[in-house]
Amino acid sequence: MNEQNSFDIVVVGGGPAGIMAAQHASKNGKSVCLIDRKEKIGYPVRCGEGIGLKGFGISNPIRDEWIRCRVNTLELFAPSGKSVSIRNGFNGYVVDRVKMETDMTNEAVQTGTCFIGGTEVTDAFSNNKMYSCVTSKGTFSCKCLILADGIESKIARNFGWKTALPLKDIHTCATAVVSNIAIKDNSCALYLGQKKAPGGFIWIFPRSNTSANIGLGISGKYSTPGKPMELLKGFLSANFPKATITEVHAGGVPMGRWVRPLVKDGVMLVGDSARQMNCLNGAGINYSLFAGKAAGMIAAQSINGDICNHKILKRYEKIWAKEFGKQQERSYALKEEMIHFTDDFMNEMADSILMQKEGKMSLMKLFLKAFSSKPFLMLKAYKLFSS
Amino acid sequence: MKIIVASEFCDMCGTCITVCQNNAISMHNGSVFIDQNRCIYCKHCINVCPVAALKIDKQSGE
Repeated sequence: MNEQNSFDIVVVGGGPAGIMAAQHASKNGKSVCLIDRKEKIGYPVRCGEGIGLKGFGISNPIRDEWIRCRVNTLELFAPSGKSVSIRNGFNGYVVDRVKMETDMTNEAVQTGTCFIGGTEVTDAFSNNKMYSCVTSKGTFSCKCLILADGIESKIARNFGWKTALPLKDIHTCATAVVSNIAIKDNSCALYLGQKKAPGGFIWIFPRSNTSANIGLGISGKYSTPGKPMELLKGFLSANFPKATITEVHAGGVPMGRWVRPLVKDGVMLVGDSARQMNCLNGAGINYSLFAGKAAGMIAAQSINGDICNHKILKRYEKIWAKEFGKQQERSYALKEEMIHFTDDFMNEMADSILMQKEGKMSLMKLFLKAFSSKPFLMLKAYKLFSS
Repeated sequence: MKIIVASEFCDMCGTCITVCQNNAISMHNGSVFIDQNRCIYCKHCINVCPVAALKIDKQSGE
């Protein structure tokens, strides 16, 4: 075995989860190799780049140069076109993910991580208490393997995880950067409607007051070939006919329950690969930052000399479950109900809220109203939005 | 019958891989590959592709 390719920990995938895992494993004194297939870190961006305030607060300090916009309002558009403004408790950022992930990767490298970009892990297997990752640049071995390989979660399948998603548990999406428009740079917008975005929604996240990340996700259950891109193009030509449209990309968002177990022997799953995603709004960056940090720290703790103590690795799942596990499961239960909401129902909700002049509206108030006929789901909504 | 990828439309997003129930799809060296021996023709990949890059090749004669 080539000793130069032997590490304590190999992290597969250089998105937020993988970078955080590598950083924190390195900071805790272990030799780490982070392998990412992208030629350019963070690119292409298949994401609205939105993150709630709490996400950075608990996992990683945010830097000003990563922030495109600070947002404090959400306009939620019903299928009819009427909108409800959410100002209470809605605070976050739209970030520059390429800059953020580049800086975070550099920080990992400065703490000792060996970063190998533009390289795909094509196979991985266990070999006598070690793990091997096969790439075009050689085989990399480790005592502990952290899989952060995104929505495909392909390498996990080599180790017995069944991570393929059923159609109802994926959003299939199209995104674009839209410029030469006039928007409020402190406000996000979401558009609902079974014709506009069946089982999903359209998002507008401001990059400035003249440009935005605009995207659309629909439930895989309702998807037909090319539907997301077709619907996005229709929405853009109807609402922003004179805009300049660049960075048009496709992508998927996992909308299933987080994977159990998160650890098998010396292999850990983090991020989209582990389906650590808020199923109501497709927000995954905060979960990925947290899970990556926890996985990296615990992986480092588990290694002593040549031995990785697999029992210690299981602490990572407990940490995740305690902080975000139930919240994620609640978001899944609510999503399962919401993909069946009809346009008539959503329009009635909007009319009712607007008529009653509910004062400062919050997402919690809105969801409690939407689920008022289903007390079990009301309780889930209450717990989700108060956590 | 086999499922093929129109690479000129493919954005390499991996959504097809995510829904493949029999691990028949892989992506490397800038292309998507379908293992026809593993494919069970559930067509989930075709339906979720955001850009309609996957389709059935009816002329394959199989």
